[in-house]
Amino acid sequence: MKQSELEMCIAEYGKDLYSFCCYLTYSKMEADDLYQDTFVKVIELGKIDVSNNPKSYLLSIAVRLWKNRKRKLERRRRALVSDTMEELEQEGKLQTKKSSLEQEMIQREQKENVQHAVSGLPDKLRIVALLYYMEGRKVMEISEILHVPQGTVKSRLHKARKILREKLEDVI
Amino acid sequence: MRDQFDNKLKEAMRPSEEPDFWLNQKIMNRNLEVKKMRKNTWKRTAVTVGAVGLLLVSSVGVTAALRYFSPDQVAKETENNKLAAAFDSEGAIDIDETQQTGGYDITLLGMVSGKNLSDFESYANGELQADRTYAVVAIANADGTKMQEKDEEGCMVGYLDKFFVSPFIEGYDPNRYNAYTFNGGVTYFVKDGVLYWLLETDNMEMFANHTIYLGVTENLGAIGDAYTYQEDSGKIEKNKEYSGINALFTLPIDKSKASEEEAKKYMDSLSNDEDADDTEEAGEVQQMEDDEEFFSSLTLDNIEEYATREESTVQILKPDKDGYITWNCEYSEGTMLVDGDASKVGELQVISHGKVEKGEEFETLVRNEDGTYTLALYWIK
Repeated sequence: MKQSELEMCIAEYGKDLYSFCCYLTYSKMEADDLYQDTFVKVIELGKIDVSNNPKSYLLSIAVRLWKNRKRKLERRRRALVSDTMEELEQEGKLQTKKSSLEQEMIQREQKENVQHAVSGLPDKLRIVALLYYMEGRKVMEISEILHVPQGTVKSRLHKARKILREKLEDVI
Repeated sequence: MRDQFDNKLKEAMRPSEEPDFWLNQKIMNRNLEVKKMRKNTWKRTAVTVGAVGLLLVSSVGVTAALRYFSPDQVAKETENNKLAAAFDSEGAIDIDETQQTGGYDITLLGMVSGKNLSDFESYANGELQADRTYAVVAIANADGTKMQEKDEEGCMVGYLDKFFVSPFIEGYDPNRYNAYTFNGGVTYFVKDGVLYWLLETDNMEMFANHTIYLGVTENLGAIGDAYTYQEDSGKIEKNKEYSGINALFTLPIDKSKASEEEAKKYMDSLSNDEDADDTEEAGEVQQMEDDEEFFSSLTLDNIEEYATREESTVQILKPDKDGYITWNCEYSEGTMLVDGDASKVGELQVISHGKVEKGEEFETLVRNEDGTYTLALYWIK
């Protein structure tokens, strides 16, 4: 794979992909692994088509890797959820340290509430919600990433949104 | 579907987590390793042609002596469940043939060909390659010792420069037509002292009217010494004089899958691509090596000869309590972990390099005596 293409992908999509991995795994260590493995898989496959929606391509690989290893990690993940929420919250603190105290508190509270609500979604709904709300993917793109019909994406998105609205209506 | 609630969700879920610098660096290094390995193998092609082996060490066995993973288990280990199902399907071929060569027991475990068999998409020249052949090989030390998974420092051992597995086709020179030209990709891992090698290439079934082989040797450049190619008959054989690794299996592909027309069209397309690819790859790797040489030659004493410092970007950075430095200037912003940094005081490190409209820039970081770091951006003259 061209080094320049890889550099471009990391610079352009690294943050988005990494955030996605963090929300997906709820573990910094696992997010690091998933993020790295996604790019390693791209390197092993040899090439990435930079003109053909590389972000969706990277996300689709991350989702595939995650789904395939999820079973192995399931037990471990449950044990880590509480620790990692704390870890992610700590990182949130670092990233917002330049904001005013008041803004920081509001943003942090909202972020934490959303994180908790999203973490409680079933996997199928969570992945669709992350791709839509976090990664800004359209329904058609999510359908291609997950290899499911657009109607299924819409239905999952609707369910996810309904659950999130019920949980978050009073707080955001 | 979008309303205020959606917007708030999007805002709260906006990507905010950053991968750390070294994580990205590891990924970049992995890519360099793969590219360099390819370049080295091409170089060796030139110097090993005509070399004479000294000792015959290959021998052929027919049964796998050890209990290896099955091909579908290998695919599962690489987190490719769709491919695992394909290896478990009726269309897959279980082979389980072992050859002892170069100090290794090399076992061809199985293969499968077809469209959309993998969880992971492959691209070549910007086009999706959905129609592929997958083959699984197990490589074990013939003396019974274990293949290493990690070295003494706990780092994963790389095998891309130690083995090259490739299909060859009767009637086509294997030096020219092999996994490299067939848009090959490799995934490997070591488990219980055995190296498992999952190779994928373009679908080889169209060549089923020819004998299709699977060769295992040290690298692309070794093909010319490890195997003989008879131009008249098109036959490919092991070079009996070769002292290294030269396994050669015959792939039992169903002849009804052959298509001379498709095969010819495919080979013609490879010939056309070859020259363009070679030139591009050679130029890119050369540029990469030139860059590495240039940046590693820079010091605080000589840098002004080659580059001009952008004064507005100079920042003295103090690591925070967690060992991170953070910077923000007109041209870049970033956070980097410097805790554990092994550079010497005053030693110049180039931490990024890129091209923008204004020119070619690179960023440098220097550790100061008081524990702070000086970051600066330079324009190459």
